[in-house]
Amino acid sequence: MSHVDVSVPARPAAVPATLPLERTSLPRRRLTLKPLFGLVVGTALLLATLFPGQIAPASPTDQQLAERLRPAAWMDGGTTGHLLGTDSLGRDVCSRVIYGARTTFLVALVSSLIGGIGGTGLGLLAGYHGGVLDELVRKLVDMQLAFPYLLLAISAMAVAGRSLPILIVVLALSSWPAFARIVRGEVLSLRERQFIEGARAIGCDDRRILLAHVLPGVTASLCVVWSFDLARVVVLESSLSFLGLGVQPPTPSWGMDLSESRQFLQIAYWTVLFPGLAISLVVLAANLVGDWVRDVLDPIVKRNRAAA
Amino acid sequence: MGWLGGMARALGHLLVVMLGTASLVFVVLRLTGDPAMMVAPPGATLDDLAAIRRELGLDHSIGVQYVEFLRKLAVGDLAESFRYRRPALEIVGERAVATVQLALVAQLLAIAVAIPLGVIAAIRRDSWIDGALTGLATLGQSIPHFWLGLMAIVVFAVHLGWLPTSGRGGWLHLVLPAITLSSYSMASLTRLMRSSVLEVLGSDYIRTARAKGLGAGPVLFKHALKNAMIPVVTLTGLQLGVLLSGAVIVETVFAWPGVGRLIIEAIHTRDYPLVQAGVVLMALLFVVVNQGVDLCYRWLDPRMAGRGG
Repeated sequence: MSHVDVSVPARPAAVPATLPLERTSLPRRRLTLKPLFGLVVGTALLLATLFPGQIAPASPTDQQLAERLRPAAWMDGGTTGHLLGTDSLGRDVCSRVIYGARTTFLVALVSSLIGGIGGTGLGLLAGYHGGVLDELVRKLVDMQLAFPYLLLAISAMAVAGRSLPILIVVLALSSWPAFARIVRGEVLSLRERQFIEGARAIGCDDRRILLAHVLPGVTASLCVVWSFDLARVVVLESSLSFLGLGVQPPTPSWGMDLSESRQFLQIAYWTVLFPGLAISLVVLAANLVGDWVRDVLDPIVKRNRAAA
Repeated sequence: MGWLGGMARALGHLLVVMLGTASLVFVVLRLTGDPAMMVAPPGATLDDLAAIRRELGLDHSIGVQYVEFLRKLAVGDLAESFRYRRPALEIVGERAVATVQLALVAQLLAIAVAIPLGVIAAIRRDSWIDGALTGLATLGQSIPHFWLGLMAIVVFAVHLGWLPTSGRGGWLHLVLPAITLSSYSMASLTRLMRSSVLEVLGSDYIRTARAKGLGAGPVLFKHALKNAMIPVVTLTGLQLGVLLSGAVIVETVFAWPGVGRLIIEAIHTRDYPLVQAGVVLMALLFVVVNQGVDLCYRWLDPRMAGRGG
């Protein structure tokens, strides 16, 4: 299967051997809009994850039926008590958005880490050793990257049941190919370099070479892949929750809130607007940070490249 | 390796992928739960369960079941839907038209919009219009389908009343679902087209064309575009997976009667044969189109024909 390479281009193997340092120093840049946006959203996400009780105006599960479907504070009929309005059960939308951050953030972080470590490991081994393993990993990656993964995720969640561990496994399984592909590509060029040869000459075994010499060389690319992957996992998780196949109530989740409020869309759009806005902001922030890191790491080709 | 060889290899690849997908679906659907328990009405006795197992062929070993599953799959026999009491594949087949229509229109829309936008962004590089288009594209890649769809309903169907909220009917019904589904592909294609045009415009043969006095128009349209299109064609094929995944969501949002919505409904009614048939058919659709795109690509770029891909 043919593919476009959306990776950070592997550095050319023909770097002068006299360079004392692997990495050239990063160009100094002013803080542009992209990382700033990422920083703001990331901080908000982290605060909401760590201290939801201190930030949220109310409990996310507290139902006030008399106050149900109240619009946001600045709209007709809104009260300052419910800044972003209430949902169909009279729960405070603002509080649910804040508490929902924890679910999304932790689930995405854990899954993406598991998938990332697995994918990186496979990519390292495949790229370094080549052979059958390499062939197998490459085929699997190509197939899975192009396949409509949501279909598999849906089947698995439907049959195995909605539970947090299963959700994390399903999401982690969706993460590994992107990591494996990038790492493999980078290792292919790294392993021919002189410092690897040198390491081998002084008697390092494969494990040490991979972990101490090759892995540090791919960390820059890993940062880029990881930002994009985080964005992708957040979308996948909220898509599953939206379809009723994600985390279980009463755990607040943005995707699930959207799905529950959908039937009230025509009369209470704010119940759908704000959780979705939260998802989009997080995904946008992760994408922008990924873009930015790639641009910074890759100043020469940055103009000619775009994420695909 | 000629055209025929390419076809044969594509067919072989297709078979392998189909077998893999079918096996995966089998594993996921069979080994994680007892289908008999799912079919059985509440309060069924052990005898009832045994009878159901016999009827579904579940009393055989898992190996026998697997072979039987593949044999039936080969002749297109994918068990009956629990709910509709009809062959599952038949029901899925009826819904496939709607999905294909939606996906096709969305993809065409994405290509039709993305190529001109990408070209404009590239030739006006670093201008405000480039900034705006690139920004929009990043936004398009970040907003999930389901939220975009719901917000589109709020604005265009509920508040403005221009378009129907859901269902399938005339062309008007297609507008919102198709635009929603195309958003991600459109954004990715625009970005790719932009970078691809920039790359081609910087190449030697374009400099030669300019040097011999060719104007900007002919350089772009006669020389640059065809080569700049190659990555776009590849990505179009690769995005099919995204498109089909998106179709499941978009069909659910807009109550579009396609395979995706059918699968979701079947999950909620625990109609597993129907889920299985839906997933297998989507996978088949995916593999077939993907191979088609691959062949197209080899034709467009003869240099690739000799390579393994």
